[in-house]
Order: sequence, then C-alpha cells, then structure tokens
Amino acid sequence: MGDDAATGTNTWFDVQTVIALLQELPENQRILVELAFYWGYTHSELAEQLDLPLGTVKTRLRAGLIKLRALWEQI
Amino acid sequence: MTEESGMQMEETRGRLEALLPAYAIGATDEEETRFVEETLVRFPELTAEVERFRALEPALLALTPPVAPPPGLAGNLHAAVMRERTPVHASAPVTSAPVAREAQSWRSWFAAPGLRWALGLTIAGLLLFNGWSLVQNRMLQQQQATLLVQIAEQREAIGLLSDDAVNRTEIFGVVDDGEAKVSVIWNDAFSVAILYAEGLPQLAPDEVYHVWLIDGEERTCGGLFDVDQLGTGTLIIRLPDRLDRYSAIGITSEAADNTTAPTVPPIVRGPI
Repeated sequence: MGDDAATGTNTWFDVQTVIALLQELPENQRILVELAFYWGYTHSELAEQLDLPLGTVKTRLRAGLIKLRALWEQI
Repeated sequence: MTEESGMQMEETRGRLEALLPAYAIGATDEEETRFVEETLVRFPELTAEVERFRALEPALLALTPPVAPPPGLAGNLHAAVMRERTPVHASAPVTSAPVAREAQSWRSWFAAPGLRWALGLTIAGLLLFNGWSLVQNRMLQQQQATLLVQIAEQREAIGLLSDDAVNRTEIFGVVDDGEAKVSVIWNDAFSVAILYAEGLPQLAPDEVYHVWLIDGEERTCGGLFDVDQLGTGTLIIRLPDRLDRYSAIGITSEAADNTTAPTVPPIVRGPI
C-alpha cells in the first residue's frame, strides 16, 4: 500500500488508511500537518495564525510529518 | 577541507534535514525553500528523503481537508481591510485648516471655485473608495460563506468516510484503455457523495471535469473538479436527491461555466 502511494497509484483503501494514521498523531502535530498541507500555510504563516513561536511550529510540524511517514511506511 | 568547514557542513546538513519534511509538502517559507533548493544539490543523498515524504502526498491529496482555517483568519482579513482604510480617512481633506482672514465667512471660503472642485473630487474619491470597500467586504463575506459551506460538506464527507455501511460504485472510461476509473462512495443517510477519479487525461487550461447525474433524459450537474498530474481528482457531490434515484453517472470535460447540460460525449460513464 505504501508502495502504491509512492508510485502515485494510491487506492481508496490508502485514503482511508491515511485518515486513520492522521488520527494517531498528537493533536498539536496533526493540526499543523493538516493546515500546512490542505491550506498551504508555511511555517511563519502557521506561527502567525496560531500565535505560536516559530520554532515550536517547525518542531511540531517536522515531528508530525516524520511520525506520519513512519506510520505509513510500517503498513 | 578544514575541521571548521567540516563542522559548518555538518551544521548546514542538520539545518537542511530539519527542513526537508516541511519542504516536501510545500510548507517552508520563501527563504527556507531557497536554502533547501540551493543546499540539496550539495547533499544529493538527501533527495531520497524528500521523495519519501512526498510519497504521502497522493493519498493526502485525495483526502478532504478535515480542519477549518484558523479562527483568527477572518479577523485578520478584516483587520487588514481596516488598516488599508484608515490612512485614507485620516488624510481626507474635508476639514481643511482654518482660514486666517477673520472677515471671510465659511460660505465665501467654500465658494472659491478651486476649493469646490477639490472638495467635489475628494468626496467623489471617498465615495468611490467606500464603494470599493463595500465590494471588498461583500466579497470577503461571500468567500467566508462559501468556505463555511465547504467546511460543512467536508465534515459530512468525513462522516461518510467513517461510516461502515457505505455503497461504492465504480465506473470506467468510455474508451476502454484501462486507465480511467472513478469510484463514488455514498450512503443514503448522507446528503453528499464522494467521487474519487484516477487515470483521467489532463485538461486544457480552460476546461474542467463535469460530473453529471443521469436520470432518463435529465442531466443534473453534480459538480466540477480538476485532476493533478497523475490524473487523480476528488469531488464532494452535494446530492439533490438520493443517488440511487439516478440511473448513471457521466463525466465530461468542458468549459467551467457550463452547468446546464453536457455538450460533449462523456469520458467516463457507468450505471449506479
């Protein structure tokens, strides 16, 4: 499944899996991942919109993406 | 290479590695993006890292956005509009400086032709600006309303995705090249259906894909969508009626402003 996604041929099952994986992220990381991906916010825009220190945003977003990727690749 | 330059290189690599996840999904700021792109060529082995993060992208793209924009967004937009307005009002020369000559009345002062012109132009300018501001505010309100509708649809779509008892209809390309495939997920309990398309051809710049719900001779537009470079696209269809009232679904590619009836043969069509 992860391989399918890597080649760009994700299936409906992949989509449902990503939904489940996103729920496994801590809330403060998941929100940043979703906002960055779906709404196109950058680090500094996220920091401004959420009134968070820039360093915190970078750390949480990075941690969230790394964890999401690790979960995805474990499947 | 000196010890110092080696340390600097290690530091640069560390900074690069820290930015790669965000870079892969486009969340880096302009300066960070430039740094990554300039530095990545020195560490080609890290390109694979970027690709590993990008492997998530197709599945993430196929999802509907599950969160709303930050609550402060509307306030910030409003504040930005107000900031734009303030200097103009502050500099509006409607109340000019007092005239020094005591004998000159306000009436005669305003009677000066040049001043009347200036006053008239200022008022006209203010009226124009107010009109523009009203239009901008109206547009913002409409965008906000559209966003709220989209969020409501997306929440309902997430509810649909989470439901165990969903129906799934698969339809395929009219030309049997084995590539175009469309899945529609629906459930009578929800007023939306989710369409997920794969392998559709790229569109001309002025075209979008139209989804048509077919009932006999009747064609109802179910929405418009675009596809990415892989031919993948999604659409939340707001159903005017139960989906199984319709006999088939068709997809055409045509101009975005045509939502009355299809004007070209379908690329994908199949029974529900």
